[in-house]
Amino acid sequence: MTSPASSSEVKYLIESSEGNTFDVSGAALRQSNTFNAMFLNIGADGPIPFTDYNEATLKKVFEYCEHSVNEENYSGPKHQDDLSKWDLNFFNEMDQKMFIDVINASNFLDIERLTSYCCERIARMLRGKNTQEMIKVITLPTAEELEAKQKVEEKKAAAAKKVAEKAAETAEKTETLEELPVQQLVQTTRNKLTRKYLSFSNE
Amino acid sequence: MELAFPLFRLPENVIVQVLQNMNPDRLLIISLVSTKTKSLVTSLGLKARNIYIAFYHEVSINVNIERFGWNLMLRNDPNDQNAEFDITRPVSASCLCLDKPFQPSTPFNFNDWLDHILTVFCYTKPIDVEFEPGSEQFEMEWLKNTLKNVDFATIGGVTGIRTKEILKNFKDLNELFLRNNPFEDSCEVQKLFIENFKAIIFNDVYSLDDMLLANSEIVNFRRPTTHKQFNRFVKHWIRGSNPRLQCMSHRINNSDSVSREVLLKGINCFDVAEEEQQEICQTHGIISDDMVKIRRKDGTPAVIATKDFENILHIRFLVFY
Repeated sequence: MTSPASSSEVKYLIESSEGNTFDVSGAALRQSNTFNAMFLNIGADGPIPFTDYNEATLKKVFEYCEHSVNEENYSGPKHQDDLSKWDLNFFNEMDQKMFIDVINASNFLDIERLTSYCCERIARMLRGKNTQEMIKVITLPTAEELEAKQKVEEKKAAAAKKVAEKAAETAEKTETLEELPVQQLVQTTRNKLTRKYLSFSNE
Repeated sequence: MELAFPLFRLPENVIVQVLQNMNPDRLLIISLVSTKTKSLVTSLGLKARNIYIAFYHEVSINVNIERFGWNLMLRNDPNDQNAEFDITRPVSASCLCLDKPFQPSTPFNFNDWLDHILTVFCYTKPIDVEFEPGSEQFEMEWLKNTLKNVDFATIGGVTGIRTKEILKNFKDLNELFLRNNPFEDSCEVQKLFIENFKAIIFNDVYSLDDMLLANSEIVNFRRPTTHKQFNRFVKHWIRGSNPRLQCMSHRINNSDSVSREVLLKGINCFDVAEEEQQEICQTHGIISDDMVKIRRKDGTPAVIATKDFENILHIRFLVFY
């Protein structure tokens, strides 16, 4: 992780399921509540492993985050009719597989704005359909599919655990803080980062 | 994007978020897809504020959730609006949000529909019902068993015999709205006024005797009366009539011809201060141009609030115990 004076210029390395890495701005990444909870205050040495998602999906998700960096703070779901041309293009150019991957990744990363727009888009897809038509559209899963889904969710939980472990490991490296309570740990890290930024501005 | 969308392959919290983007009428439709969707929609915890069922040659169910309300028309044959309703046969529904009828994957009869709606929208309060011409086809015993506890009933255009039958079978009724007087003999309707319903709304011609016999807390006479009849009623009330009355509504046509002096002739009254008027209007949700206070002989205060609108004088008689 680099640490320039302006936080928007901070870049983080993201690792995808293929093992590829690419960088994302801190401002974009901060739209992910998952990231905020795990890395924001303690930083990360080396790439952040979001290895349950492929590079194309993660790049698509962070493309959205980079674009919405300068938008006003998220204040609840926005009607599809109110979406900007850029937003509409963003959604329209995805095929269904990519759309589903993006929802899953956005949900894991807890990016409220993107997840909410995706959900509103699906709800819109179901409008004007009676029960029989809905059954056709939402293609109810078979028992096998349900089992497979459970396995995927278990895998995701394991991935999340791995990310959390990585975050904890990084925290340990940063300072010997094991015995500090969480609040104090966050405060200490904040103080440390503030000192760091101050020293940069003094230079 | 393709027409089919594998909604159930998404994590459950995402599915819930998708459902939260749907209006209650669409949620009802999706809740009919499977037991899974039913349970997901129920888990949203949407609580119906009120459910109103109208019986006539078909059945309509009006569901109100927060500020959202919609009407569901139930028919055995969606293409035949005049076919007799068979409660045992599958029923399909239609509503304004959809230009085609819908039914669950496993066909529902009327009872199944009602159970489903009550469950999905967490409704446990008594149901409000309406009986209109054509509702005679529904057997009273079945209605009683299906609707169980009814709080408010509207009866209109059915015979006096049927009206009595309805009232006999729904004994816990709190509020009654008679769209018209179903009885030929005027004494019959007076028997209903004497009953101690919490509220009664009457939309037919009424006499001073009817007004004086009204034993409900809230009485709403929808048809116009005369200023003389109202004036005489107030004088009787001062002397002690209608001991349970809390609120009575009237209207008088041609308000231009009714001055305050004429309306309150011979009644000892005094003006209500502006501030108190505003407070009363706010508490009772009324609009008033003029408000006077009176007292009955035992000291009970009441106000007469009037509002002139489109040449009709709307009167609200409010008693404060």
